[in-house]
Amino acid sequence: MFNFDKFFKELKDGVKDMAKREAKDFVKEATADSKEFLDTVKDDLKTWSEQLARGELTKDEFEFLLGGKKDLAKMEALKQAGLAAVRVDRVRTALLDLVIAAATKSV
Amino acid sequence: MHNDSPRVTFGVTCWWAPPLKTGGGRKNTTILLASLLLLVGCAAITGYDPTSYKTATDLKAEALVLIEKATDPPGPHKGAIDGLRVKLRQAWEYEKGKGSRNRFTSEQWRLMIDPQGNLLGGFLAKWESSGSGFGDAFLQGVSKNVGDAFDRIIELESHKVKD
Repeated sequence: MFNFDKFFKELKDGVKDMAKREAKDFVKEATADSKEFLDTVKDDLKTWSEQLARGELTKDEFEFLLGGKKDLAKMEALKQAGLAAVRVDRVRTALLDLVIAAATKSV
Repeated sequence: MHNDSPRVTFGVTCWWAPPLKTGGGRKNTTILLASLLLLVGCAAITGYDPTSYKTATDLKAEALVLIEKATDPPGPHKGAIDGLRVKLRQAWEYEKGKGSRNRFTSEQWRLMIDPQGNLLGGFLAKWESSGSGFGDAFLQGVSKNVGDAFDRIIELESHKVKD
């Protein structure tokens, strides 16, 4: 006999754990990526400012490189949005696995 | 929200999965299973594509080698510049062709090749319009930005779900 209450409890607990784990991992990874990106931008801006001061870069070239960093920030944001979507798909797949596992335990 | 309300997630129209309740018996089970069936056909993003990955890594190498040569005037490299532009456009068209579920990657390519922008497309346009070569400091900066931009495309593709 299939036990509905047991099935729903197994499922609810599993979904809660999975959501917590996925959200925590995503925030951790996104924060690390953002920090790395900002560190790189900071280092490059320092280098380019010094090169501009020494005359190794023209003002036009310096501005082009700065614009490149702005475009790169958009690329990073798109990557993060894409990674969030990948995670949504992983959760969806895991949810289906969870249903099967909970149903098996409830029979 | 009710179970027949459409919902847009990451540019894909999905159907809302109703909250689960315990003790509802057969009715709840039917709603749950129906919701899961709807979820199955509702991916938020395209899966990993080895062709996309290879195209991005190949074009990264080709682009960086060409940037190194931009100490020269663009004239002798016109064939290489035009050839790279065609390949970049092909890559963008390929990604756009996958539809709205691939919009993050196709938008990345658009930024990369935009002649008005400040990544690869913008650099090639600047090189041609200047009619002369550039100094090492500038080319190192361009190389860094373009390389990092390709890495964003490659990283996203490599994290997509593999079949």
